Amino acid sequence: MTIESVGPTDLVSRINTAFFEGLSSAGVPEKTIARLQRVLSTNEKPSKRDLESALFVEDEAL
Amino acid sequence: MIKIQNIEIIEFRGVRRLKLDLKGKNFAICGRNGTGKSGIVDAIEFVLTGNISRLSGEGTDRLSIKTHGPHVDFRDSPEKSVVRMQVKIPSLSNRLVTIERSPNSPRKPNIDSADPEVLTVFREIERHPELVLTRREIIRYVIATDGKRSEEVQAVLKLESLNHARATLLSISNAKAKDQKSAEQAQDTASSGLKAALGVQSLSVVNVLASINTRRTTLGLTKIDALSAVTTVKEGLLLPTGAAGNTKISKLTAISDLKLAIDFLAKLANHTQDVTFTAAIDSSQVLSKSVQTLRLLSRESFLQSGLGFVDEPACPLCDTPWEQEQLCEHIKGKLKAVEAVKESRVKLEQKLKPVSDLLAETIAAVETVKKYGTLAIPRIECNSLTQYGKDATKAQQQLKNCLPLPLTIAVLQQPPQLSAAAAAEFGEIDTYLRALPDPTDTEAARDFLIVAQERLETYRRARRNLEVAKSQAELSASVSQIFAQTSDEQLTLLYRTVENQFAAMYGALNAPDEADFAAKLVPSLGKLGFDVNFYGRGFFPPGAYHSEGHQDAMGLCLYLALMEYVLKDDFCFAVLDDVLMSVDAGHRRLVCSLLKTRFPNTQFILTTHDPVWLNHMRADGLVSSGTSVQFRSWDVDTGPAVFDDVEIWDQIDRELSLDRVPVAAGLLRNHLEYIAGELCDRLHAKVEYRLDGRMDLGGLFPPAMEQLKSLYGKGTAAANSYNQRDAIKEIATRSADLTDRLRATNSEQWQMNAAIHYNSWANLTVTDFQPVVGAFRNLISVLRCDVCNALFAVARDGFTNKSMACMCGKTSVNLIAKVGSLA
Repeated sequence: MTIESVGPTDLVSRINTAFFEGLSSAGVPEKTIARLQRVLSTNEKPSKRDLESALFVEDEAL
Repeated sequence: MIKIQNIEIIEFRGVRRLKLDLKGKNFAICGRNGTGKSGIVDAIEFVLTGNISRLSGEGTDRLSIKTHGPHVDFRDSPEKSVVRMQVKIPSLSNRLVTIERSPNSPRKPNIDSADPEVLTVFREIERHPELVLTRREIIRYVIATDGKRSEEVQAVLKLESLNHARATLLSISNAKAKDQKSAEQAQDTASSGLKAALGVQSLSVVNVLASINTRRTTLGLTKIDALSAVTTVKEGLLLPTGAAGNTKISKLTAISDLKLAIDFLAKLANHTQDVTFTAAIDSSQVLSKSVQTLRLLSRESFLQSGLGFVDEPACPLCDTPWEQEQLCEHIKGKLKAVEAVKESRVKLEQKLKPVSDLLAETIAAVETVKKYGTLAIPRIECNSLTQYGKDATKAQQQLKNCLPLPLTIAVLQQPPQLSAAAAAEFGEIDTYLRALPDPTDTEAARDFLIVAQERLETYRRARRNLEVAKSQAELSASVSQIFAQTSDEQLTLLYRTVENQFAAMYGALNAPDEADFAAKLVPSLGKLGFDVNFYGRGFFPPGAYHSEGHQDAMGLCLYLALMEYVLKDDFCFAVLDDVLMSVDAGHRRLVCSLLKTRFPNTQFILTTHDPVWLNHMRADGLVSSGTSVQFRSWDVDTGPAVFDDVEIWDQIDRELSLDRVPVAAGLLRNHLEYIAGELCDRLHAKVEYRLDGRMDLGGLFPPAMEQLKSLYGKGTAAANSYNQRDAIKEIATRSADLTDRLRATNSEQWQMNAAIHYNSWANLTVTDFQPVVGAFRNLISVLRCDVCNALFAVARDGFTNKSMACMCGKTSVNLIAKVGSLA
C-alpha cells in the first residue's frame, strides 16, 4: 500500500503520521518503524511476508 | 480530472453509431426504459475505465467485455467496436485530449497524448469507478447492511489498501500469539529433558553446577564457577563417547530418561490419587450439568477456533468471500454475545492445564525412550509406542479444546496408558538399556557431560525461541492495535465531516420539513453504521421510516458528500444513471439547485426515464435543450433513436413545414401547459382547485400571467416606497413588455372568443397558426432569465412574497415595500 497515494492525501497522510507516531510512543524501535514505512510506501498491498520481514528482521529472530 | 466534450460510440452495446456533444457541461439523457440510455452510461464508463460494471460482479461469470461489449452483431469482431471521447482537462490549462478504447483490448486505451501529466489524469479516473453510478449502486450507501456500506464507502475513499494492511497486521498478530504458546510448550519439554539428563529437580544454577562439576571432577576437568548463555559444560573433554556395546547411547542418561518416562506414566496410571485430575473432573462435571452453559460454551469454542482460522478473505468454513478484517469483527461480535460463559471456560482451562502439561511431558518422555529403541542393536520396533504417542497427543488436544465435555471427562477418567503391546516394547527397551555394560565412572561422566551439553543447548534454543516469540507477539499485537486505533480515529474524523456535509445537503433538499435533519455515521472495524433523524423522534436506519424517495435523495447526498470530501476540486464529472427516480417533483427542483450551486464546477451526466424530470432540469437551467437528448425508441438494428429536434420550437416549425398543424398545435399546447404549470408553482399563482387534479392550459395559463402582472405591480410599489428610480423603470419596461407580448397571444380572449381558443388551434391553417406560435415563443422568452435560462420564481418568508428572481440573480424584483409606506 502506498499510503501517500491511497485515497485523499490528507486523510492517508494523517493516518500515516499518527500510526508511526503511535509506534514511536509505544517504544517500537526506530529501525522497525523505518522498515515498515519503506514497505508501506513501496507496495500498495504488501504481503504478510513483506510485513513480517519489516517487523522481525532475520538477525533479530535468531 | 476531466470534463467530457463529446463522445462517439460505434457498434458498442446497444448503440450502432451515435455522437453526443456534451460541451463540457451538464448533460441529460432521457428515454423510457429500453431506449438505450444505459448503453451511453456503459460507453462513458468503458472508455474511461476499461470496465463495464454491468458485465462484472455477481451473476456475470459468463459475460465478458470482449464478447458482450460490442454490439451483438459485432460480437465476433470486437475490433470494430469503439468508444471515442474528447475531454477537457481543467488542471492542465483546459487541454483537449482524445481517448479511444475498443472491447478488443479494453486495458489498452489509445490516448492522443503521451504527456505523463495527461496519462496520470486518466489513471486517476480509472481508480475512481464510482464516478459512474446507477440508482441501484447509489442506494447501497443508504440501505445496505453496515458491513456492506462500509465496503462501498471505503471503496469510494480508496481505503481497501489501508484495510488490507490492517487485516494483515491483525493476522500476523494472531499467528504470533499462537507461536508464543507453542514456544512455551517447547521450553517446558526441553526443561524436563535437561532436568532428567542432569538428575536435578529444578534448573537452579547451584543444582546444575553441582551436577556438572561432579562429573567434571571425575574426569579431572576444572570446575565451572558460573553459568552463562555460552557456557560449555563439556569444555576440555576430548575423548570419544559411548560405552562398550553401543557407542550411540549413554547408559546412565538413558536410564535417567527411562525413569522420567516411567514416573510420568506412573502419574497417569495413579491419576485417581492425583488432586489435579480430581479437580479437573469435578469442574468438568459441574459444567456439563448446565445445558445452557454448555450450548454457549460450544458456540464460544467454535467461534474462538474460527477466529484463529481466518487468514484469507473468505469464511474458513463455507468459503463465502469476506473481507478478512470484517469477518474477524463479525465473529468477535458473536463472541461478545457469549461472553457470559467466558469465565467458566477460563476456570475450566486452568483446571485442565496441569493435566494437559503432564500429558505433553509424558508424550515427550516416551518419545525419547522410543528413540533409544531405534538406536538399539538390533533395532527394537516401536510401532505400539508410536501409536501411544498419537493417542496421547489426541487426548492432550482434547484437553486443550475442552469441548465436548464428555470426551474431556473421558480423557480425565481414563488418561492414555501404554497398551500391552506398547508396554512390551517399553519393557524390551528397558531390558536392552539395563543390559548395556555399565560404564566406568570416567565413561559415565563423559557421556553425562555430552548429553547434558546437548540438552542444555536444546533448552537454551527453546528459551531463546520463547523470548523471540514473546517479543514478536508483543510487537505485532502493539503494531496491529496502533494501526487499528489510529486509522479508526482518523476515519471517525472523516465520517464526522462527511455526515455534516451530508446532513446539510439533505436538509437543504427537504427544508423546511427536515431543516434540522441530522445523521450519524458510526464506524467500527469493518462496519459503518448509518442512522438518520426522523422528524426529531430519534435516530433510525434510513430504511426504517423514510420513504423510498427520501432514501434516493439520501443516497445521492451521501455520495456527493463523500465525493466532495475525497476529490475536492477534482470532482469534475459524475454520471448519475437514473438515480432519482423515486424523488418527487418538488424535491427534484431542489436537487437541481443543489447540483448547480454546490457543485458549479462538476459536470453531471444524468439519465432519466421521466420526461417531466428532464423538463425540471431544463426549467431550472441545470441542462439546456442543447445539452440534453431524448431517446424516442430503440431497436437492435438501429440502436437508440434520438428525438429529431429536442428544441420544442424547432420541432413545431418542422411539423408546420410538413403541414401538420394538429401535431404542432399539440406540441405547443403541451409545452405551454408545462410552462404555465411551472410558473403557477414558482410564482404561487391561485389556481382553481380540481378534485381530479387535472390541470389544463386554460386553468393554468391565465392565473400564471395574472400573478406575474400582479407581482410586477407589487414590485413597482415596493420600488416606489424606496424611491428606486432605476428599479421602477426596469419593472415598468418588463411589465409593458409582458403586456404587449401577452396581448399578441390573444390568450386573454380565450374565454370570450372560441375561434381563438387553443382548442381551435388544430383547425387553423399553417399560415394562421404560425403567428400564434411566434407570439407564444416571444412571450415565453420574457418569462425566464436570458442568462441562466431558469423561469422566474418567488422567494417567500412564510406566506409573504419577498422577491421574484431567476436562479443566477440577474433578474431580481423586490416585493416588500418600505415599512410605513402606503404601498
